Order: sequence, then C-alpha cells, then structure tokens
Amino acid sequence: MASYSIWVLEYSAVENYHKSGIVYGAHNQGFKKLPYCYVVIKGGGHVAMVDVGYNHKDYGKHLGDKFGVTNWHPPRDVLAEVGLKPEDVDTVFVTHAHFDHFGNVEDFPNAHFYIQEREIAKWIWAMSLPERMRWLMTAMDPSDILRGVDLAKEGRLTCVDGAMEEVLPGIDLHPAYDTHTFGCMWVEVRNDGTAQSADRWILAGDLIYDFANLEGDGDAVDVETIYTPVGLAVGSQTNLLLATEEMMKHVDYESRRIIPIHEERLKDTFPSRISDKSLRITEICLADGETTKVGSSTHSSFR
Amino acid sequence: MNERPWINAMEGQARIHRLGCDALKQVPSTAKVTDEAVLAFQTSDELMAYGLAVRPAYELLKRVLGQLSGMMVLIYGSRRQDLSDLEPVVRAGEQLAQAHDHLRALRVPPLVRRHYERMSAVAEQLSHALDLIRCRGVRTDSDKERIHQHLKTARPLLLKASDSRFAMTMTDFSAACCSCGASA
Ligand SMILES: [Zn+2]
Repeated sequence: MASYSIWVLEYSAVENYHKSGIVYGAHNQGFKKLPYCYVVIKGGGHVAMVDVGYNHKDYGKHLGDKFGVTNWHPPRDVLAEVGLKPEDVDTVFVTHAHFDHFGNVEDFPNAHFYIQEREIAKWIWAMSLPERMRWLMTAMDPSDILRGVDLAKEGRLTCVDGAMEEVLPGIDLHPAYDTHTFGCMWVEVRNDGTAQSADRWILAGDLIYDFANLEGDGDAVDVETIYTPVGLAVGSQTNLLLATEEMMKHVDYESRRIIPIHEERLKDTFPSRISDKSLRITEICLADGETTKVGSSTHSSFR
Repeated sequence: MNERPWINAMEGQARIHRLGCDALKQVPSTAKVTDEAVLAFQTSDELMAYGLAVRPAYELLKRVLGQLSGMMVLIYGSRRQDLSDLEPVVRAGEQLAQAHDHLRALRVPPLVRRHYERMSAVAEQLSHALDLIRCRGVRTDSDKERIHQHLKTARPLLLKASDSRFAMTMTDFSAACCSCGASA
C-alpha cells in the first residue's frame, strides 16, 4: 500500500556546473549538468511540494546571462506535466531559504509553507554582520524573506522549531542544523503511513546534491562506498555527514530512497521522461490507484 | 529644520509622503538631458565614482531590509512576539545609521539623482519600520501592519536601485550552491 505519489520535476538547469560545487574537494574535475527541480508529493487528498524554485521575474535574465541558468519554466507549465496546477498545492516544505528553493512562493496561492525557524533567525544574524563576512549571505534574497512576511501574516507560514511529525499523514520534517545552511531540513515520507514503515522516501533538499555525496568511491579506504559532503556548507562538513548518516539510518541504508533533486542520474534509477519543453519528469513512486505520468508502468529499474 | 534633505532635493520644497503614497514608488525625473549626454555619462568617471561610493549604502540597506523582514516572519510565523530587545535590532539600527551617513556624504551627479532619491526613500522607509520595532516592541496588529507596509514600500525601490555594474544586487550569486560558480 502506498499513500503518496512522488515526482521530481525539473524546472530549469545549468548545463555546465563545476563539480567541486557538488562534491566537496572535487577540484579540477570538470563540469556536469545540474538540473533545478522541485518535488511534488500527491496523495490522501493533498498536494505537497518540497521547495518551489526561484523567482524568474527578478533574476531570470541575470542568472541566464551571467551564470548559464537556462530553460526556466513556470510552475503552471511544469506541474501540468503531472496533471496539476499551482492552485492545487496545499502544502510546501521549504528545505532551506536559498533563492532557488524559496524564491517563488507567490505562484502557490493556496499553500501553507513550513520552514525551520532557525533558518530565518540565523539569516537575520548573518545579515547583521560586517560586510567582510558577506559570504554567509550567499544565495539568500531579502526579497524572499519579505514575501515570507506576507505568507506568515496570512497564517500561511509556520516556522518549525526542530523536528515535526505527521505534518501531513505519514510525512515528517527533520532538522539538519548548521549543514548546507543554518536551518536546513529534510522531508521524510512514510509511504505506508506506519511508524515503522519499510517504504520510506527522503527528500533531501541540498543536503545531498548528487549520488556521489551518498556513494562516493571508497576504494582508497577499502570500503565499497563513502559519504562525501556537498560543496557548500555554511555549517560544517561534519554536520553534513552526520545528517547523511541520519537519513541513511532512516531508510535502512537503502540509498536509492534518498532523493537528491540536483542529480541528473535519477533517470538511471527511476522511470522518467522528457517533456516537450525539454524538462525531465522523474517518477519516484506511485500511490495506489494513481496512473503513471511518465508512460511506464513499472518501477523496477533501481540502481 | 528639515531632517530629510533628500525629499526636497529635487523640487526645492519640503514634501513628506504618506505611507503607501504612490510618489514613493515613482520618483520623478528632474533633469532634462539629451540622449548624447546620457550616453556619455554611462561611461564617465563621474558615474563610476558615484556607483562605487553608493554601493556600501546599498549593501547596508539590503541587510537592514533582510533583517527586518526576517524579524517580521518570526513575529507572524512563530511564537515570538517582542523583538525590541534582540541584539539584531540594535545592529540593524547601527547599519541604518551608517547608511544614512553614507548617503548624506555622497556627491550626486544630476543624472543619477533619481537613483539617489530611491536609495534615500528606502532608508527613510526602513527608519520608520525600525522605529516602530524599537519603540513599541511590535505589540499590536496595527504596528505589525505598519512595519510590513514600510518594508513593502522599500523593497521595490531597492530592487530598482540595484545595478549589477556596481555589484549592487539583492542576492549574491557568486558562491551560490546551485547556480553559479561555473562562469562567475
Ligand atoms: Zn542551497
């Protein structure tokens, strides 16, 4: 029995992203495609998302011209690929406040948002520091936070203080403080709804960018695989590794159940298709009674 | 004494705008200039000097806007109700005072008058918001509403004052996780 369907939806991409940004210490190892995605979780009368993408109106041109971010499409077009509209979304889990995760809240008029309180509180602190410490403000947009005020005022934003269980039936939020950002969180779907679920999926936000973060080559140290943190941490690599271990423990070390949204190779693990806008739709799992949105009825091709 | 010299700098008369007044969103242009003059100005040392000099003020205003917005998210979205004693409030006050000082000390070429006025208007809006937080501790819904309105008035003005030629952008993408380093 599966309560929720989960899709990873690409909405934009950087064709050539430097690998050292993805995997800590991977210097001079070239570039790879970095898709920008968000996640849709649908089931039990709910449509939830993990993150909402960036605000193209304000930054599209700048990001395109300067950094090679291409092929952005609005949530209306992207969600249509799985038969949904932005208005259908009732819940959004914001894994962290970076512009490409928390930058497009306006497009979801009926959603209630969840973010860690610490993510906001420490952002305030980072902004109060002298200019020489501006690195701590990387990828954060004051405008996004101001839009957060609109949401909070309308009672549509909850600042979560730590872990929160059953935000929706079978869906839990877990903090990972001082990792990629100060107040990151990851989302766990217990897809049979039970406390001891054997059917768990973890939406990792930017705690994991790529399979290499989860399953790096362990040859040199004579183990099969090792964890290697992502390339950007305002907290510490230690905390990133500890968060990785915590996520892995939750899925009983079955790494395919941890979903990195910037990983192009999800397509090698899960059924997927490319839309007519050249965006990939990846189907992680299907709820009972849901029909596939990628034109394949099997979910057996795991890595 | 006029404590807000920027307000009447353009038209020689004091005008204090009400909160939400459209004039704050549309600061009028004052100088009549030719296209050639504008073109020449775009590459002038004068513009360069202004751009470099105004950037620290932009940065400070952006930080204050971010901090006050974050505080309002916490007030509306969490159980915290009184932020007046928070250390960041003190720090935002210092940063805002620095921004005001910075703006006052600037030499402003006529062709960037509108930019300067926008920046000054942002500083003014943020001052109103911060005064409310500091003096009243944000206890009533109407306080919250007024602060929010000041921040909402400030944001588009600051966005319009952004200029990537002088590294005045709302978001620093240069080390951003998922965008950019590649060709930055
Ligand atoms: Zn991020």
